[in-house]
Amino acid sequence: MEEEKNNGEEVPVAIGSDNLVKMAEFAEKRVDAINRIKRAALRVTNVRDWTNQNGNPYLQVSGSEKVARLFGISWRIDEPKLTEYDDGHFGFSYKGYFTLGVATIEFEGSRSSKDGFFSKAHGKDIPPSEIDRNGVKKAALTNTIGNGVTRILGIRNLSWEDLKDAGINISGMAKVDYKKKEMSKDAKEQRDKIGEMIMEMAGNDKEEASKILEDLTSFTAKDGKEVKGKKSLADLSEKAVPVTYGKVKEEYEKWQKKSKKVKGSSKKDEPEPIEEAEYEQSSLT
Amino acid sequence: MSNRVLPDKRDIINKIYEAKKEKIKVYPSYVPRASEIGHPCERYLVYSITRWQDRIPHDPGLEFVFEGGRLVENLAIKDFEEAGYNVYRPEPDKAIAESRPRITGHIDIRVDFGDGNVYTGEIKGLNKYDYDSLNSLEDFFNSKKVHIRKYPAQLMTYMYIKGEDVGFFYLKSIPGFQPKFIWINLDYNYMEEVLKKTERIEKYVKDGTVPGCIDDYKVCERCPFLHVCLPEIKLQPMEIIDSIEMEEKLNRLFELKPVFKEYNEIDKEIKEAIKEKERLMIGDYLITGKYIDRKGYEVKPSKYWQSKIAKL
Repeated sequence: MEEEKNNGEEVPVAIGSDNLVKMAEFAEKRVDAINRIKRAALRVTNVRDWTNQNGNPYLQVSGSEKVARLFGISWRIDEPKLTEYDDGHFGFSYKGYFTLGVATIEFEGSRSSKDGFFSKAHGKDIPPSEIDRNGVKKAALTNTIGNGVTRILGIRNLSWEDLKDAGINISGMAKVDYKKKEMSKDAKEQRDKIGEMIMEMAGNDKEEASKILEDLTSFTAKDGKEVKGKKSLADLSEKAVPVTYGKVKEEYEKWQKKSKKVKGSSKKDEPEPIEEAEYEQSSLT
Repeated sequence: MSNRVLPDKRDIINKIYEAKKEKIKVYPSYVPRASEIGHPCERYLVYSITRWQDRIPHDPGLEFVFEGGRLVENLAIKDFEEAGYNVYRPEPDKAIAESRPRITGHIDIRVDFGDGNVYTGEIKGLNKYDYDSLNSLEDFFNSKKVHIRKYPAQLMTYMYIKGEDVGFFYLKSIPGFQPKFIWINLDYNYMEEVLKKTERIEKYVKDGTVPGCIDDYKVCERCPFLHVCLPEIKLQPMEIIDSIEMEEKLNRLFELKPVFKEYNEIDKEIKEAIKEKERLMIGDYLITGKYIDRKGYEVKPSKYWQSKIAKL
């Protein structure tokens, strides 16, 4: 192997000092180019082009099309392949060839009727025979196009930070959570009771009630990190409802006792005990 | 404020959307529809007949728009009736059923305006932008929107089948519901093209073949048969220039932008303050002014290149 001297040490030519600089420069330029592509791609999309899919930002086909148009990505797609499973479910896959300038990549995208998006409604399973085949087929195609476009540009796995930096208002984003089931009647009743108790404690102030809920549902995770609570009852999961109900009930009963006490003492025109007032405030905010 | 816990608004909206989705059905089609025959893709028109069951139904969001459009039709009919015109809402037309080549459709309205003739009309509810931009037959043909470019073929097909050489579009703006009336003369050359196209569609359907794909991504990207048609998409790649000189100029341009803006604002304020003052001294500044006659000229229509520069 051809070698050159570098600071008295023998190193391979491929990673010699000049080449190292060149490689570093190339790597830096590459990162810079990817960042620029990322920012340009985000620039043409808006909040409607993104969904929050199981907690991650997902570029929808409308967004992929905008990005493809901006960069001038061409593609052709092979005929789809159908896979049928023993349980009656099925899936489609498309193979696409995506070209940008002289570079071409292949990507195979697929979707299955087993996906929660197709196979579940209101928490119940839909029989495979009732699932729309064209819907699954179209989804496989959009998956192929979306992934092909983002892969050829090297902008897969964008973060919430990337979206925020590009000025996309992520709070208004549509949410897709396949695991979410409709809440049971019992849980809904408990959730309603939670709402009633909190509203009473908050003196019917919605903002205050939201703060109380957030406080009572905050907790410290196993890794020691503080996890912020929920501000809206609608965000409580079925599992979280009974736990929250217990906490709220306990807090509500304490609050009831204290307010009776305060009422009783005010009848005698006595000043409100400072300690109690402080406790009440800190427990509710 | 009541302490009642109200039903979740998202649940309510979801239920409304779901109900709307239930209403959307894909129906078989055996011959081209007048409302579709102006579509730029013949392959789409053939698929609409031969593979109608593969059509991806429109989404519930669009169904709200269609329902609104149907209500606009009723409002439009009321407009003509209130104005005292004789209005006919044709039942499925025998002439349409017997047309050759076969095209199906449903005429919105026929109106007698008192000149002894009955005119065929097509009612369209349009957003404010489209409503404002459509004033002549050419405007429909020149629209960037495929669905608007289809309207003339629809109306003219009805006029041709009814043997009439004049018809009309009655447009209503949404929102606002303001009316606009456009007379349309039957363009025989255009109609000839439509009829030939219909014959070609008939032949493809009969032979079990399909025409080639068109090369227009804007049409393909929203096509309900995209997943079966699989057109090759060819787009021109973006040009990426590595020019330090140009980049520096652009950087400087963006540096100067806020100063330029401030300059313009102050210049405007000063000009306003010193207007019609012939001689004026402010601090170290001497200001003089006079009226200048400006020669009038007409700006001829032309095309110009508009660039937008965004800093990434």
